[in-house]
Amino acid sequence: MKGTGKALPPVLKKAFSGALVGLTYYLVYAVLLPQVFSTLLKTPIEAGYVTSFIALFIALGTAESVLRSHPISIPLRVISKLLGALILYVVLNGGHLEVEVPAEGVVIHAELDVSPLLHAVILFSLLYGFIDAFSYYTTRNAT
Amino acid sequence: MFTAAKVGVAVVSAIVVLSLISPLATFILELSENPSKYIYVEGAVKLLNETHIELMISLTYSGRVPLRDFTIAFNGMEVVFGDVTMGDYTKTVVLSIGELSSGLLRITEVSYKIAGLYRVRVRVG
Repeated sequence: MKGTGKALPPVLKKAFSGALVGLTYYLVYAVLLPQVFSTLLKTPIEAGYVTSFIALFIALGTAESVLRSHPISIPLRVISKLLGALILYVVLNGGHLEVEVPAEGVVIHAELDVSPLLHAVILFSLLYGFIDAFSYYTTRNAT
Repeated sequence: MFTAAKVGVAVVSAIVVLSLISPLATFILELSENPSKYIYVEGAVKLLNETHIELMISLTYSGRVPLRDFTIAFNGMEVVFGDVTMGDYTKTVVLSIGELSSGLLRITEVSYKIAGLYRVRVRVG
């Protein structure tokens, strides 16, 4: 019992920090980046329906943190980034934004394709994620 | 090794993303400051003879970001202005009166690419 009492707090600490990392990923990909695109493009972007993914981000973050010294943490960390990229892609409709404005008895339908910018953000995010994941695992194993 | 790679990727991504955002942000900012006259299109019709008319389409663009493949569609026809920078442009089209099935000249679509990157299509109706 004594040993369990000593081992439990670090695990909880890892789980808590992992949950925070997961929550941060969720906030960045599902809230912050869509909001930046919405503000920049002056176009309303509906992102509320991805709220259910928050649990998945937190679960991945927690698992990745608790299993940090195990090689499984690399794919878990990469999956977090892939999930974030996928959500960003879905929320922004693949970079194809549309808006309809009624004016003077007709409907003006405007389309803007921001896929080059979206692809660049996702590409660099994934690239950074892969390097970060390997760095994370290597650093952890070295200590 | 990983730290250098992470810093390298972060720097390169910041440069690339900022250079991609810059023309789009400039375009949207300028457009929101002057929405009615930023891209201004108007047409003038001149009767050539009993069967044909001459349509002169004037385009005025007052933005700093170049627009590529600027095209205006009307009554099933397209007028291509191509690459557009700040200034005035005019294109003249000769139409047979029979081609104007509805009897009215109306722009149905305007399309262009902001800085050659971001496709914009505005359709009316």
